Amino acid sequence: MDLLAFARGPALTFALAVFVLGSLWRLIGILALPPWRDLSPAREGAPPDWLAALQGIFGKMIPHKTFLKGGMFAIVNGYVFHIGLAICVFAFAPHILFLKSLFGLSWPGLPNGLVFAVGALTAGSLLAALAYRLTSPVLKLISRGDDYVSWLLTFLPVITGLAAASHIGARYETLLALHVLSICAFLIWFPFGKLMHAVLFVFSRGATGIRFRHRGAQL
Amino acid sequence: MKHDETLDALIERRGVSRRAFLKYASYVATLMALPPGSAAALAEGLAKAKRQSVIWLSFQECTGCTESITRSSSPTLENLIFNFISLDYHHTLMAVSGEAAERARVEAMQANKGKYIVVVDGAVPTKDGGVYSTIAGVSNLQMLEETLRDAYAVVAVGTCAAFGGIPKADPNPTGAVAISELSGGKPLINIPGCPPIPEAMTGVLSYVLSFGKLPELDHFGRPKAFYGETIHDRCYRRPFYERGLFADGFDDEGARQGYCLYKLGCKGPTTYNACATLKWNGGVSFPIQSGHGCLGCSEPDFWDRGGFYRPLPTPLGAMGPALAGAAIAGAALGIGAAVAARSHRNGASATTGKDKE
Amino acid sequence: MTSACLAQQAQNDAMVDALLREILVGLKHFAATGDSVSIDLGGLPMSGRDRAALDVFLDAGEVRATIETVGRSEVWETRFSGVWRVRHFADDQIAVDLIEIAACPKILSADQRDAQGSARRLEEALDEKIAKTEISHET
Ligand code: SF4
Repeated sequence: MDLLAFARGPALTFALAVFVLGSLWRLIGILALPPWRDLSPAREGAPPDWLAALQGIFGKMIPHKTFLKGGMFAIVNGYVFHIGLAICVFAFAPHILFLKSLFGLSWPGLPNGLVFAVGALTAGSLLAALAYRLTSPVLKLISRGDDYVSWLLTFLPVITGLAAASHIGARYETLLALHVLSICAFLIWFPFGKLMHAVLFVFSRGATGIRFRHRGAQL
Repeated sequence: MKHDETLDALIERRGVSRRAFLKYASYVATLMALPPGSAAALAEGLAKAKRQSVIWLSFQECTGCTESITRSSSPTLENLIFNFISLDYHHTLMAVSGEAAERARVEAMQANKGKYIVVVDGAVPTKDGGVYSTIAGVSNLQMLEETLRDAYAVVAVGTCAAFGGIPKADPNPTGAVAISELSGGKPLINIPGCPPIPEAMTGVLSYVLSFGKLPELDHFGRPKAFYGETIHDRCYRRPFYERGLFADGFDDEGARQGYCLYKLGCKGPTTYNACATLKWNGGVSFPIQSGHGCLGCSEPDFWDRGGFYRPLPTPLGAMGPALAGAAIAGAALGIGAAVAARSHRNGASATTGKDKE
Repeated sequence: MTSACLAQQAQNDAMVDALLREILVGLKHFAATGDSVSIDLGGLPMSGRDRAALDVFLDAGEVRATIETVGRSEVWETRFSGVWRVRHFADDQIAVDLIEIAACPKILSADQRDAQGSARRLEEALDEKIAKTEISHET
């Protein structure tokens, strides 16, 4: 078996299994906890829970004025690489084929050149995010190993993907194998580190929304 | 038989001028993308070379490789190679058979000791002492060993000889192996393909004849001149790939428009061969031009790579059971964790008497 | 013409233009030093249209020759003296397509060793001819 066959075969199967197992473990573990009950009466004019949850989820996507001034770079950069990642993952034709093989769903993709440009921008943005993390005193202080591992495992698929698409550094099949293996690493780490925020942010923000609005706080 | 006559003497005797060498040399130089000016050197080398004794051994194979080389399109230019080599043994093509044929092989080996080239098509079964394929009562394994002993070099023609090919496909019932595993350090050139492009075979032989050395090879022992680039690198449908225009079926609008065949399982991006440039049957077409994706036939284990129609970026093997198992285990662990948390909390509230929340 | 077609057209011209520039460099070199240069069109990603465009631009000059050995070959000088086209055919398909910048493409001139052989043959033929005439005179 060559490296690519190993990556596409056993490695990917194992990584996806760990990903599913770990993610469900954490998600169900959290969701099956006893519901939090606020016995106090809701403030006057407080919205129903579902609306409060939505306000929590979407309202927080635009930061409060107070944070806009100092943290503009982090906010914009955060958006750039999150959207960039989404485009690379969901709009590149080979990725759509991969997702289709898993879920049976398919949608039209974007031209390779465009996705490549977005990928390059995303890589740059991720590097900037790391630089910011390393230079900002506060961020540096609160960063743990998890943050750096999560960053690296996000960065590797992007950079190996770019290398594979442009045939730079090694033969295409080797680059493709490394790309797949980097995704395997990402998938395995995903449930156990901060990458899990991609799933959990919905619940945490929703819960925060409900609690805040219940007590009459603005979001 | 012994071959003392130089090729130019031979060619002259046949009433052909040295222009033929130059012409053939330019042809090989073009095929192999040799640097400008090498055609003249190649022609000189050819003229001075002796007729090359070639012993062709066919093992576990389908004879497609022999078909391919003997059907190279032009009766003149490309087939000139058959004037330059002496096919002293090829049990499919030679006139004699049986005892006489085997004698011809042994005679050629003795007369050209250390100088003959062994061409092999087909894999070699090694299981149970190699009984699964024998010629004149001799196992392939034994015949290869014997013939290679005094050979100058060995050329593994076709994917079966180069990588084990179809005989070696899972579950490999005969224990078939590639020639490289048995060549015992003899200089080896792999010319894989199912079948290989005839020009790749004739080009490489001509190169060895004129320059007296092996051409530059890649890590799979394939001549870089023919296997240096992927099909995808030189595919005329590539612009469609880049623009994200794909055929979704063999008879849909995309297929009619000649869009890229990636979604239909084309292995062009990971297949190193010259089909896209040299094409087949004298440059008429090649699989992708005829509307079918590349099967990857010049790569090791192409038979076992999850199916010809499975797109390249999809996982190999059955994911279903593994993922279902993982999902059940994950859900169980999650519920277990929640139950544990609840009982912990209940226990905590029982001892302290008040809810911590 | 669609924009895609126009883009394609521009790309084609780019290929041919680059090649013509290479020919110019080779021709200047030959004019200055007498060293011949050979460009193999086989290795270049040229479409049929590129080839046609090149043919039209280079056109034909004063010399044209056909060689019949192991198949047909055509050689002609372009309208730029010193720039030659050499085309070998196999099965009526172009097997080799060269641009040679030289006084004369090598394939056109006779090889000295071939000449040795042919001198021998000429001598034999001549002897035979003379012998024949002598016989006819005697009778
Ligand atoms: S048809 Fe195959 S080789 Fe050609 S561009 Fe598409 S994927 Fe690449």
